[in-house]
Amino acid sequence: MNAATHAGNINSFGQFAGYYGIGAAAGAVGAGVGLGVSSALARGSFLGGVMGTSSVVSTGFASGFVSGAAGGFSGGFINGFGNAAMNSDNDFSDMLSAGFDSGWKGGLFGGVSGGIAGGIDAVRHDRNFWTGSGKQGVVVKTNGELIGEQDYNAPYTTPQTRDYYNTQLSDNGSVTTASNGQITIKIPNSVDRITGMAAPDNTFFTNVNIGRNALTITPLDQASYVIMHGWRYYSNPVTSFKDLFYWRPRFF
Amino acid sequence: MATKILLKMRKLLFLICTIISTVVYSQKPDSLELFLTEFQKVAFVTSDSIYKFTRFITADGKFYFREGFVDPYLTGGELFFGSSDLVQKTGEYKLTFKSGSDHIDTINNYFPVRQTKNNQDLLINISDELGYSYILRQVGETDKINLADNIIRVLYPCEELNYCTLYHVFTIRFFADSVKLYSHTGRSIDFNGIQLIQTDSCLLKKRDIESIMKQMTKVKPIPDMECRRPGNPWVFEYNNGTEYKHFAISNYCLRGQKDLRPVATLCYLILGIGNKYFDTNCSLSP
Repeated sequence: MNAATHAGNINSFGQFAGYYGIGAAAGAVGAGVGLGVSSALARGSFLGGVMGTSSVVSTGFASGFVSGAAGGFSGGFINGFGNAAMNSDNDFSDMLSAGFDSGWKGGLFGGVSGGIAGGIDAVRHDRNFWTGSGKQGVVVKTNGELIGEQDYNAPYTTPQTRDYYNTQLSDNGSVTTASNGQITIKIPNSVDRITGMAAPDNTFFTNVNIGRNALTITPLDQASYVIMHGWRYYSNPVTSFKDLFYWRPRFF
Repeated sequence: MATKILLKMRKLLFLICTIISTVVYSQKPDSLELFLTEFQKVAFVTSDSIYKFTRFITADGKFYFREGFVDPYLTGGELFFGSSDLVQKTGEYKLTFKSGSDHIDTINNYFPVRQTKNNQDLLINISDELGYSYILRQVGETDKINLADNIIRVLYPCEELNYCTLYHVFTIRFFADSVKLYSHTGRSIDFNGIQLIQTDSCLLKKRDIESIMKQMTKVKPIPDMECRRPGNPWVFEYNNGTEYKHFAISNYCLRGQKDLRPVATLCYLILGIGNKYFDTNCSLSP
């Protein structure tokens, strides 16, 4: 590719080999650096990523952007520097300048395309597009406190703890009752989606409506609480820099 | 003019999205389906005690344990609208329970239950060891690791954060002149719980043995460690004839735990080798 784009400058086989070699080297280094950074972000070894032997791979847009930008910059720099070096009129500073110019463009393009690839990889593995974090089934209260659904049913979770995650329908600032008896429960931001609701056996509801921002029910009898089930992407919302970067085992 | 059209389009789009994202249920007694969960009493036998648990399994194989011999009829029923990690199929349900068997299932512990600082951690350890002993028994990997063995064993849950129904067990046995890899896969799809669905074994190639041994040198100095929550921990054990080590680590707990990285690397290396030899991975379709 590099030889083709510089065909106008090629006057001998040696120059052809030079441009060809620069393109090959830029491609190889860029790919290797990209894989290495991806592996390092995933807490694997940099060299393992370069060699293709790393057992973990980072996933999500953020990780893909960083590794893509690193690979794109490395490859672009070598390409720009090398091509400038093929011109005998250029001195070292010209080569460096050409390298950095080509590098930042490669970094930008590599970052965006790497990010999109990382995001698609995450979605294919049922993870968050942006961070690569996994989905977790949860039980949540209106104040945002939540517990993993598996922990909720675990032997080490006491009945008192389970009761703590009941959403009370009275004396609750996130619960409003309309004049027709319809109850609206505001869904907290700590959960991505409410998918289900449990209620004691002796309560009767009509028109259970589970929306994105609120849950509405019309109880026919006095109802004291419900239990909201849903899911969230782990570390959502993001509260620290490391929450942007997640990984998965390569073969699983 | 263009702005007005754009505004109208945005309102229309918002309305369509709201309609699509809304799910409505109306409760009628005869429209409720039954969501059945079977339960059975379990006696978990460790070296120093017998713990009572109750195992619950849903119709699609999701299982969990509760402490003690629980009678779910006494705790009252529940209604369920929609879906959750446990109640996967969206609908309106009356949650019901049925005894799967009157017989008490006895599960022997295949792991060491270590002393912990508090009762809460001890219960977490015991419930993990109960679950994984149950899986080892169901897939037929019931040999407790003896001090004389030269062995590595990995038990890997194929779900990191939620109910897991697919597990892989890889065992590597070192003999005088060869190294053998054993693979067992257990899956739970109905009230019968974990069933063995795949088993295989083969001799490892020299290159794979070398890569495992190389990584083992980094693991050996690390003391027994646990990092169980959040998520489902995988279990890594090894015994080289003189010392036994046991790690219970969840992938989401690994974040920031630099000391455990060599153990995780070795675990994933073994998973990768297993995938290479037997084409086993966590994307097994039902």
